[in-house]
Amino acid sequence: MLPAHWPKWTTILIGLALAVFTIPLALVLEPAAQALMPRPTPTATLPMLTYAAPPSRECILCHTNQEALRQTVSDPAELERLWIHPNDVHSTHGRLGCITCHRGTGGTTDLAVAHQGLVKDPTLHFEEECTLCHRNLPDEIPGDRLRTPHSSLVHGLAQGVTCSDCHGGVGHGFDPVSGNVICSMNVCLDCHRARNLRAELQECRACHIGPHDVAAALSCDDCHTSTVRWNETHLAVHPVELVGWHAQTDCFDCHDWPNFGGLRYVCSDCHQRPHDFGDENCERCHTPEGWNK
Amino acid sequence: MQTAWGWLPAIYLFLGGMGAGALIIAATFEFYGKRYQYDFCPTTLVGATVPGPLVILGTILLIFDLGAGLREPWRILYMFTHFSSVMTWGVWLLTFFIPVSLIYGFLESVDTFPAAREWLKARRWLRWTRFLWNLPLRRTKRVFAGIGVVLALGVAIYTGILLSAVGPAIPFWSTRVLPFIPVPMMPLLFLVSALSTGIGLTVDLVGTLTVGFMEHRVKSLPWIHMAFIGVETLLVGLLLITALVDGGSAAQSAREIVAGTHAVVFWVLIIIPGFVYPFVVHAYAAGLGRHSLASGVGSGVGIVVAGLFLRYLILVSGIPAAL
Repeated sequence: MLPAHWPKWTTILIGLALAVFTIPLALVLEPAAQALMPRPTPTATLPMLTYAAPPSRECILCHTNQEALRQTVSDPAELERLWIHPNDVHSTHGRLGCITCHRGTGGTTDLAVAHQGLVKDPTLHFEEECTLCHRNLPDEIPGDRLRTPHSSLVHGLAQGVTCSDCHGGVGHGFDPVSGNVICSMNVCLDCHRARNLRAELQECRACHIGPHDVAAALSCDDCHTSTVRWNETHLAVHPVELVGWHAQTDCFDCHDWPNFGGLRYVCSDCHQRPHDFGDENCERCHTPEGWNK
Repeated sequence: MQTAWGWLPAIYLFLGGMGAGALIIAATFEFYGKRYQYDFCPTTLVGATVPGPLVILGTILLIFDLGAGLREPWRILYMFTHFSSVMTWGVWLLTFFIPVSLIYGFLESVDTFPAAREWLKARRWLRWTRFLWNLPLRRTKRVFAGIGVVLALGVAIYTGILLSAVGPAIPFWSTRVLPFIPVPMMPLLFLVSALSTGIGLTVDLVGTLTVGFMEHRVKSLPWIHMAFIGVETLLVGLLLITALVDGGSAAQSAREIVAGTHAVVFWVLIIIPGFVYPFVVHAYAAGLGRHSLASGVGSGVGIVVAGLFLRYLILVSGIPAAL
């Protein structure tokens, strides 16, 4: 016990001292304990990117200013390519600083010095740096019904494909979260065709996960006519010819989602007879052009 | 082992956790009336006054550890606005916890030392604070203790959430409570460890050193101690078992801890001083009705040191996931 004549407020100091004393005590004990065991070999450490926002200030000052760019670039298309929207500097990737990905020399306004060692497409040269942060990339994005063969890319099975082939605009106006400025379908398809990949990798289902379990009987383009909107369809394969109002009706107003079941192709499947006379054979009087015809 | 996070983060996670735990223990004594049963309650005094300085020290170390924040301190301001980041939640918790714990500590001090209160009231340069002295001291203190407990729970849990959020890069840190329960273990373990180190500091260490045997004042203290040690043992065991079941680098981390390169730290510097010894002496105290000075202080030092080593071990044993 502490001496009785010590003032009570020393308790606070003792509490603080004991708490802080733990730290040097632990720092001494740990190497002593580890000396009893073989020193562990450090494994691959936490991934780290070079944080280069401060030395990238000069890059940003020039590339976000069209007037400054015009002093060295006259071609409007080139000017457009080199200009960075000021908002993009504050995007997730933009905040890392230009030099983090594009290298070059920071902290200088000398054009030649600043561009020494510049890398135009970082993912061509430092693809592994993308995967430092972007681990466990999905092979499917169910919400968008898309197949995205990231593991093939990361493990090198898809030779020559880099992150920037699809996500080239990251840091320059592309927002992977909102999908703003998303890559075109043709990026995938053109490449598949150019490489003459096997047939199924050149079809819609190479990338799209169709909701209908009808692949054995139908191809996507048997019904879908647009590569922009799924609900643009044609009815060439419909077993019953659809005319009049039926031609304008959405498939799933009549059929069950997603496999088109639930219909026996009689009017009463969908329509209720509002009058007492007649029977279920509506076609005796009505046509698909409208009930009053 | 990973080498990017070593002693420095372990120390500030420990200081934050122990500060939060100590404040919760002090507030518990306050709300259950134990604070007022005797003239002097060292547990409440230390539990109220120490958390503020400890968490401030931890925060300074955190800023020191954030290289960018050290070179360009204004970048810290960005951390207040990025609400999807766990770091931002922590920054807000610390922003509120530090002043609340300092005020609670001040109020507890002036309640414990009336002479200090009179001295402050008599200062001419503090005349403008006169209206504050008219507030009901103990009621005001309880308000800050209550707010402090809520914030302290947040700080203690946050230190664990911070680590579990780093998964899946370090799978061991995001290990679930059980393989089939998708709740991360670290926040729970760090909360219990924070409370344990809080009791170790305010009751075992300071209580034993200043007024002797706290068990005379609170008969159930040895049982509370043993319950905390039991829960903490269970959580550490579940952490290791779940990591082993998960396989991969999480299992590798668990193997390194139990029987590998970190085994000495785990068994000699955590399990024996922080779990086995305190459990034995508290079981002894529960049966006998008293501690010896050596067992009380030894238990406190063991629990507090083990709390720091537990955080250090969890950090260094993390192995990054393979790509």
